[in-house]
Amino acid sequence: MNWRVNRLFRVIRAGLLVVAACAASSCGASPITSGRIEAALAPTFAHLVEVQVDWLGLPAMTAADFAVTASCRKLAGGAGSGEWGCTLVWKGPQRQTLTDSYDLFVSADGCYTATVATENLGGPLLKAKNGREVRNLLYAFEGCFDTT
Amino acid sequence: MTLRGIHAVFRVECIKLAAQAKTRLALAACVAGPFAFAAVIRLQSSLPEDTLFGRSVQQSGFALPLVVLGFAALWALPVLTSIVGGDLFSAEDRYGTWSTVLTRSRSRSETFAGKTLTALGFSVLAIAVLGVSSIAAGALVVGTQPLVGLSGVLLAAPDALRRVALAWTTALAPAAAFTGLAVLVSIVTRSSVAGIALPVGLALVMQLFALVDGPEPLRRLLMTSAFGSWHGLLAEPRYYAPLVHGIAVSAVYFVVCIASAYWVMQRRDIGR
Amino acid sequence: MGRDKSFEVRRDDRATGFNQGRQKWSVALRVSAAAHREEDGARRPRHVGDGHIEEAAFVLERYPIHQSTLCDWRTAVKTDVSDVVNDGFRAFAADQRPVYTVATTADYHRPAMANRPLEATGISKRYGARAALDVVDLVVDRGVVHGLLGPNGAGKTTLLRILLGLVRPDSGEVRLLGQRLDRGAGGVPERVAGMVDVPAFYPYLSGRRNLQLLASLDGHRGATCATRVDDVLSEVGLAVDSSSLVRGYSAGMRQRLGLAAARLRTPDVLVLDEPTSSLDPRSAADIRRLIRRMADEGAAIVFSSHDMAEVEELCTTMTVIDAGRVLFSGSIARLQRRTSASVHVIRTSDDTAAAALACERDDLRLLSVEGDGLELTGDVAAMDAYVVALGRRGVAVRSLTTRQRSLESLFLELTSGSGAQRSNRLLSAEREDERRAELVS
Repeated sequence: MNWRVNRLFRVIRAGLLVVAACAASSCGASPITSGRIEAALAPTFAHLVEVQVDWLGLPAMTAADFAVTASCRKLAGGAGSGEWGCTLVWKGPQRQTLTDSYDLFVSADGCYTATVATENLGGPLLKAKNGREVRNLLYAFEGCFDTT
Repeated sequence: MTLRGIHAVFRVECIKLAAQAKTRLALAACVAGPFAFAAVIRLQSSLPEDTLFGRSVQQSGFALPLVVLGFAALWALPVLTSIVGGDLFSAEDRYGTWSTVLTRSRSRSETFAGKTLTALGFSVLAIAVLGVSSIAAGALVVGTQPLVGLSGVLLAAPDALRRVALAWTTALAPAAAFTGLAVLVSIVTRSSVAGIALPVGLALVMQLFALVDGPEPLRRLLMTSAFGSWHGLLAEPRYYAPLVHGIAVSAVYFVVCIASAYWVMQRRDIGR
Repeated sequence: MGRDKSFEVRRDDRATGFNQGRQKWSVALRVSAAAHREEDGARRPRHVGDGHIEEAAFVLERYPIHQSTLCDWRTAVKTDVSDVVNDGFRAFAADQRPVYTVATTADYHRPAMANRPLEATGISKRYGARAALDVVDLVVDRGVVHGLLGPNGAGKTTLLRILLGLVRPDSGEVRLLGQRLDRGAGGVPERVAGMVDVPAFYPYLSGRRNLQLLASLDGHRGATCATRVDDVLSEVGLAVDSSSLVRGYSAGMRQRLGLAAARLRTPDVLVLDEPTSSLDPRSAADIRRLIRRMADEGAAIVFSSHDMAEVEELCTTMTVIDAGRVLFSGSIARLQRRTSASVHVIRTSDDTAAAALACERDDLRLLSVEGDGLELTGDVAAMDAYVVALGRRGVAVRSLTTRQRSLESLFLELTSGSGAQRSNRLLSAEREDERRAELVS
């Protein structure tokens, strides 16, 4: 009987060690930092513009063409999940420099929902070149990033 | 403890499960649910915008299974895993059949292993049925259009299908952890009600904790965090760290729960 | 006339092909070196004809081999043992049947037989401060129906559960068919079956399905198993109801199904907890018949019961337990020898005065005062003196009869009063009896 108890204790001890190691590997500050959000937001925006351009029937462009840079700050103070405000600076299809603001809600698991805060990008639906209505991917979009 | 013995117990438990209405109902709900959901989406104009991929649901059929996956993590998966896992052992207490079952040629270890395997098997089956059904519902009701991923990249149909299927398989690890928890509760409390209520309640509490922005290390140790580890598969480039983490945490929970349950089971005196 | 010096039961392992027929033991009679006739001054073996072997083999076929049986065997064969036991005797190994050498020893306590069907020694179990069982022994041989008696809460059910591995004893060992019962290892050994509690089954399945599942657990599947299930169902009288869900079964039907489930394992050891308690008289009689048949086929059966008539009818030997301690273990005849077995019923003209007088006397015991007289126990001389004293007091004796006490009243006497006192009295008397038995053999 004793060996069973010992085995159980060993299992529990091992488990606690694994768990503690995982926890210790990123103690302290929240992993949701402006750096991470910017690093996720900019490429996502760029790819979305690429897809949108294709859906609108405009000449194809790649994400890199848009040279998106993002800068974000927490609206409610401190780092971590919650409301963030981000400003994106990028080069449009006509090579013009555009600035757009987004309101982000970032959750603890590293996923965010970005809702456009400016008027430039249009409403939820856009008219494509061939007259059809397509969804405006830039109106509100979501993404996730790694928080480990 | 022999494999043949465990197999014998497993077979008997499967036969018993198949004869019960609740398992058939649960699996039927897994099949019908996604289709009903898809029909509602088609008919309604408002979208489930608070779930990931909710916005894309009318656009690409591959978004539907991901919405179901996101929603299932909240409610359906803890319930599905507990329906069988939380009842398998306490049912013997409810019917008083422990003395019937344990006075046959199978040892307690074999009985425990067979029943645990059955509970795991049902969890896997339920997830598989729910996943396949939601993929089918999406493909049939909405279509197989390309899916806009979590990094804005447009994923072509074959790639999207692969990723969605993989995302569903990542639910197996936390489901196993919940199954282990349900089994432990079932054995310790000897009550099927507790065996379902406690894991589901715990899942709710864990998700509330995640919402409330608790300390990050603790959030990672929650069983429910592993349900969200599929996000990295839909991003470009893919990241697997949360998935690996989720599997490790789920494995620890599973082993601890099952080991404790086994220990309690072995020590128990049946009857007075 | 030489006396046999050594007489031991030993199993001859050179015999191959163990016959599981349980009753068909063949016996090789071979004398050990010491057991020769000494009066001739020299060792002189004696040859015994085939006729003697046949008789001995026949007798041993009908009885399990233990000490008292050896005495019976001798009586049945009607020869002095030393005439039969012989050096260089050929064994009955021709049919591949197991071979035993039979000899007697002066210090013979119990036969050193390899596989006693059920042997529990030193079983103790505490629940908190209360001792449910306190160093209990239980031994049941083949073909014996052993009753377990005791008041409620005496520990009978706990003991039966321990025998089946459902409860772990604090100390002691259980051996079933020679295997030590270890809860960690295997389940209940093959050919051991039991039924405790009201037998429970899955109510959402039919009786037949339940039995099929239990057979599956035992590792039996397929067509032969299905026929066997049908056979046991018809044996207990459930063939008609077997297709309906157990949910609708009465208590009696459940009990019969439980017995069928036990029968399914073709047990050599059967452990039953009040098998006929919820049955109507006819079903109970059927079950008793079934138990008797199983015992005749060689199974060792132990069952607990409250019904004295049933115990008297079925049991060869019994154990009486109270508050976790064994008060008595042995045959009914032995119990009657232990406690005063005969009861004198006296009818007088003034029962009250007679009762008062009986209470005053030390050599008599008043058991009860009934409408038809007083029940007293005591020896003949004590009764004589009592009758004379009654006459002196002016009480007339109208009738005096003696009858055997029922098992029930024996049991009640045993389980009333202080447990420790009673068991001590019984134990010392038992030791005397054993010594006497040794001298005889």
